[in-house]
Amino acid sequence: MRIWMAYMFLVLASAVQGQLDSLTWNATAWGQYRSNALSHELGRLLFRGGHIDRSLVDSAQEAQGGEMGAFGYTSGLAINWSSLRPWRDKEARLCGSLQLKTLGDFRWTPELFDLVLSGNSGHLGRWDVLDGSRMRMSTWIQVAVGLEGANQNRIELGLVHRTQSMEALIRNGYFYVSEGLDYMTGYLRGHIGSSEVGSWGLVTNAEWHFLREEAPFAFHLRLNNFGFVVAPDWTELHVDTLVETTGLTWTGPGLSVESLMQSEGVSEVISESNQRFRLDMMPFRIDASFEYPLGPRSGWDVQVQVGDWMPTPRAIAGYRRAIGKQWQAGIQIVVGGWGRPRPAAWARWKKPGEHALMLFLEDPFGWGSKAAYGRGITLRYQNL
Amino acid sequence: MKCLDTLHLQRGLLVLVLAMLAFGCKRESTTWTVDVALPLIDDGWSWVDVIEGASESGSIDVVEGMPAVLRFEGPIADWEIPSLSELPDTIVTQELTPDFTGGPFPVPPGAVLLDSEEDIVFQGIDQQFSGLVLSTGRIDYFVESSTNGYVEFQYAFPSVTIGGEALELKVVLPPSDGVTFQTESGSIDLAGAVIDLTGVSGNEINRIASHLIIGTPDEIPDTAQVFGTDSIRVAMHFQDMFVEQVAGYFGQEVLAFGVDQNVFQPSDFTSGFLQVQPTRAKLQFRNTVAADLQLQLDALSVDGIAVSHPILGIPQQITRADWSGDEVQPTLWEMDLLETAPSLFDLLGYLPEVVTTSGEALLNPLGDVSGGQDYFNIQHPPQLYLDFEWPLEGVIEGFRIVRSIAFEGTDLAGFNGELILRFTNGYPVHWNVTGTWDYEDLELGAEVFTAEAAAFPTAEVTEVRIPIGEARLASPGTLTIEAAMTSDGPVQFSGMERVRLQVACQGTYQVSVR
Repeated sequence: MRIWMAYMFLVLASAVQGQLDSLTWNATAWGQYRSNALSHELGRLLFRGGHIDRSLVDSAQEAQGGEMGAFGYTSGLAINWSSLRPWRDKEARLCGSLQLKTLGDFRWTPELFDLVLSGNSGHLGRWDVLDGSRMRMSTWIQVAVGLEGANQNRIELGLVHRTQSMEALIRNGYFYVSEGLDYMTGYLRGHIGSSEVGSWGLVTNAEWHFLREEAPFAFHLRLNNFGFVVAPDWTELHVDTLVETTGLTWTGPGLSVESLMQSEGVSEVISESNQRFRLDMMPFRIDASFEYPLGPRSGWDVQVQVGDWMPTPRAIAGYRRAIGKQWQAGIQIVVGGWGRPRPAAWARWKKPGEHALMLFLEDPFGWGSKAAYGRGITLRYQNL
Repeated sequence: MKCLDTLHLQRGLLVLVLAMLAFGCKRESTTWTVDVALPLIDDGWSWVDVIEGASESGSIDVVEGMPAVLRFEGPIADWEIPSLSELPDTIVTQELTPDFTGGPFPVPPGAVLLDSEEDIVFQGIDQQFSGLVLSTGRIDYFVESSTNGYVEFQYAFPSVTIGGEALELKVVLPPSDGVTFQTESGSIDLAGAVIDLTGVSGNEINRIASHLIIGTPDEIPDTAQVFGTDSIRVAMHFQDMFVEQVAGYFGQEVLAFGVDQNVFQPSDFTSGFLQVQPTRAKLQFRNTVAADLQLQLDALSVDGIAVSHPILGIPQQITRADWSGDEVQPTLWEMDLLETAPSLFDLLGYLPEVVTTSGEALLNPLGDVSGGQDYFNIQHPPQLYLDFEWPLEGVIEGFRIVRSIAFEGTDLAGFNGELILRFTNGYPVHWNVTGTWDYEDLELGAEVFTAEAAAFPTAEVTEVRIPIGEARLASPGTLTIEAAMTSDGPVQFSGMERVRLQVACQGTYQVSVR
């Protein structure tokens, strides 16, 4: 299949070759991470090392409250292009894109966070529920070719190579220690899976724009990475174990000090399964945005993003204004995604007929604060 | 221009990626502290748990009731008979020298120089053994020759079979150079060997039939040159032979009989009084030897205090065991320990260290009445057997038990907390427990803790907290627990009593993840 896909790509690429004499393109590089509980300082210590002070854990617990904790990151580089010449004397033109992207999503229950970073001593007699805690990470590169029609509406078919993917999920789990320290029970049913080799697949990207001179507003709909990959040699480690004890006995075949001394450790409760091929949906994303002008040099816009493993849809609302002939800027409020409401700001500089450069900062006040719950930056270059 | 812009963009991105890699790869350990509290141990000891370790082969149980009855039935001592279980080492040598002078005289291949059939006699055995089976043993052999030619030794023992095959030693020595002897040595394992000791004639005792042939090998075309001064020698050393089964006539041997039965080790049971009033206590002698015995117990004492009994000093005739079937049918002789004066069990109540029985036994007091058909199997030695029944009721005063548990160090860096020990007493006695945790690391002071548990049913859980930390856990140590129990007058035990020990830990642990 890999050879077949490469062959198809070469055929398409040779067809495209003649259309590249003149084209427009833009390149976007971005990176962002966000959480509803982990501050920048706590996240840095978890990922880069160092001692985590209890006050950081306490403030994270306070921020998380009773909700599921979430942390996500995404970064990458995307290049989109479209030809200026018509495709076979029709209205459509050739277009395409290249995308390198990495995406991660972590969720945890408040009790799991408490158990791992505070211990269980402070909440004896409480049932710690672990259901739904998960981790998933993926990195891929995608090359797509398609056609662009009127109003920049376009559709692409892409070849994707997922270089790395890992997931872990606690489907059910709980932990309990009685206040008198005379009873303990714990249950865990979950898995962790990964593939040691890369996966190949097909994806579709599409855009539809409502742009009318007679209409006072614009509407945009975008679909990214809708497709699948086939993961070979997918390995999963499963655990489905219940432990319930008032304490170990010294000897005996059950839960005893003697049997634990002779056991082979956690390998006794873990089973392994291997799938020769596994079909995985790619983490796609749908963007819907609405723009409405408030005057000749200002306007407001609303955008909603769904997908990309985000626990809740990400909504953005903002005000934009042109400043002089070459500058444009805007302020926005962002809600949803992996974190809590935060501001965002952007600025765009354009040299008409040549190129434009845009900088977008999410939570700009957080860039100087260790207490912020994430950072985000997007840099876009447009060849006009 | 567009190409130049693209180039700049690519360079910028490359710098960005390199910077992310450079800073992103730096990683040190992530550490944090967690407060943990977990139950560790929950175990208990009933009567059976406590007593089960007292005998490996006896049958012991506690019949629940009011009062409960402790029953023991099983061997308390084996009687060893060394004269029947071990054979003396025996050396057999054969030397062949020519009966002429001068030489050399040629000896062609296939010539026989010596062909001798004779018995190997085991010396130093007072019994008249006709056959035996060895559990262990070996023959170390040594052969040498100064002959200028190949010499072959064939030493056969048709009355010794191992795994059904007759034992035979075959050695071929190469020609000597006339100056030094050609030699060879080795060892033959006799474990499991079945040996007929009736000799070549089949009517002897303590003899192994053997057949030795010395000659020149016919498969080697070499003519030996023999001088009158040549010498050919073979030595067989039977040694370390231990018997599993033996048959024959065992003779009239007088065997000293003495049993020192440990009862209460002073190191474990330091002091106190335990009222013991059994309703049945019979000491049996079980003769498993197919030979008559005359047993005479001369003395019975408790920690040196003599105890009298009507049958002490009186010879008792015990007939031979019956080995005609698949299982041995021992013959029994017994004495009632409740008839001693003073009462043996009154003395046992003061926790003596040892009970001593001494006397002697005479094998075959009436001579060879079986016609040489005595039989002994070491797997079934004669035994002293106790049949004992004790209603669990009485007075317990200051009964002290000491136990020590050695701990190896545990590497649990970053832990600081305490062990929580809880005792729940189900016995109708008061307990006082003192524990001492001594560390090999002398810089760490010993931990001493005490606990007191009231008598059931008013008992409450007694809790003791022992501080533990990284340093204390890392040091090997010994936990010594001394428990003293006292009853409030005579008490009855139901057999369902149980002492419960729960251990939990609580503390702060520093997690480190690299």
